[in-house]
Amino acid sequence: MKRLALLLLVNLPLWVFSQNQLELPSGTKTNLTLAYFGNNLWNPGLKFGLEQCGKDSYKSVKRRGKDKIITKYWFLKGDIGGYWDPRSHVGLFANVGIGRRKLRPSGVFTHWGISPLGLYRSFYPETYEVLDDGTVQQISAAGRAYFSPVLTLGFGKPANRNVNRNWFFNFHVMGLNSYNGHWLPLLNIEYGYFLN
Amino acid sequence: MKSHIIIFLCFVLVLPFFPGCGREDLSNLSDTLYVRRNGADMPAYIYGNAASKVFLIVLHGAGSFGLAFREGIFKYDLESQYAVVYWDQRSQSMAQGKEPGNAFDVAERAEDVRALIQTIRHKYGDDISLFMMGHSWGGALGSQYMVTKDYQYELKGWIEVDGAHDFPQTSIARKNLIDTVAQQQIDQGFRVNTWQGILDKSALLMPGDSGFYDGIFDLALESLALVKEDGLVNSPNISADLLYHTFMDNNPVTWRMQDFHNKPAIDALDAGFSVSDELVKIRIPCLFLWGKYDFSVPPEVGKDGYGRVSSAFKDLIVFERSEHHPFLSEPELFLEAVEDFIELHK
Repeated sequence: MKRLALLLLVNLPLWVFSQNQLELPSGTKTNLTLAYFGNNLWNPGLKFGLEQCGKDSYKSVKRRGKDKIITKYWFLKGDIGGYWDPRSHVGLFANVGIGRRKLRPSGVFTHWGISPLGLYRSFYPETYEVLDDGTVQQISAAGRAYFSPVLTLGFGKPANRNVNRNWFFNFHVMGLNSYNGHWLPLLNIEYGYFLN
Repeated sequence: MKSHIIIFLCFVLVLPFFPGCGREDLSNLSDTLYVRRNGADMPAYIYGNAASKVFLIVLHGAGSFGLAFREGIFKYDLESQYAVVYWDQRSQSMAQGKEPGNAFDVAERAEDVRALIQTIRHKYGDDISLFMMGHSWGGALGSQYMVTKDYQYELKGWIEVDGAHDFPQTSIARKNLIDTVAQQQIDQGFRVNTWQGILDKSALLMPGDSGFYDGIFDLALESLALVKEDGLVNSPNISADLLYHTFMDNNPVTWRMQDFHNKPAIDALDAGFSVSDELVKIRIPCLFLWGKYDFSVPPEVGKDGYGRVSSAFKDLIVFERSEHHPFLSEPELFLEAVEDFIELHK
């Protein structure tokens, strides 16, 4: 089961993107993102993201007597990143999912995303395992892996996908399971840029 | 500019992977290590003067976490003399694992304590002197450790601070303390009507009744608030260190979620946990430190423990102006008691 999940996690983004690149219209594009990732707000980290945007849909609205266009599109996304909790551990994660972005006439965009498939791995500092016979042995790369779906909600500016240096800010909730027999939410923030 | 930001962020993220980031100066140690045992990975934060070769292990109470103790006399006094080990117990605070905490009883958790001690000895040498202090639920856990096999002889001394080594007795002791304090305040003319009301409610609650535990617990909370208002106990302030450890060193969401899902003290309460009858096995030096107005684990429990252990050296100190946390409400006296005990037996 673990192998299957890992296989899906590694291959799904490639499979999804390759399928969609064939189907998506020529107006679509790929975004690369890089963000500061703040676990518990201040545990520092980085997150790299890849987005494959779908077809734009347009809606015309009247604002102060003028016609304005609201653009919306879906995107597939894959993220990889990590953070450092200085006192206790390092966390690395990868996840894939979908999102929806709304570009407002003001230049601000809002978006949400859900990544149902994710993997999280913690890494501890110096770790010792004590066996039943009392033997103590140091173990390397100790940590634990968790299933880790993600929800994000954010905004940014400007909204034009063809302009460099668009920034975004996300609230990011990652659920870890099974963490001592239950779900554990990690509350995070992201502040980053579109690199393309 | 953007490239500078990226380089900076890369540096920040890569930093922890460089070895030697932790301080290994033994006289001013700042170390984190994990103990893995039977499905749990439990962090131990070790600070202070390890060059002294004296280590004090702190077992935290229910709903608390190891580093919650790292303030005041622990940080500024005890750490300057000894190494202090702040440990997150199985399924508590930053400890990780796959199994729910309630899958393990107190005896199993005592094996975790044993694993922690073995790990500390493995890393810092067999020539170190180990002392252990357990507060509240940590007192129950430590007492279980002390009466298990010959584990107590790993330690030079055991300090129980307002420890719940007998849950059934604790509820009865609460009622006794409530009655005693209420009568004392009535006799002295303080809030006579209010205390009389508490006394009357207490008289209706009898051990063995279905609502006894909850009823006494509510009265205990009410009584504690009153003794604070009457100025019978010192009210400690929340220190900046405690806030820092709660929100920075700790992940507060992780800590609270773990406590929400895993309550070893409640499990022990439901199981009627008590090691009173086994305390006679304890032969190493013991120090019992209790708050006079501890309505959570009253001094009657401490006096009982003191009377039962077989130690050649044992002492019981009741702090006159303290409730459940004498190390916060009367820190100087508490420090003096702990220092004297360790210096005598290290």
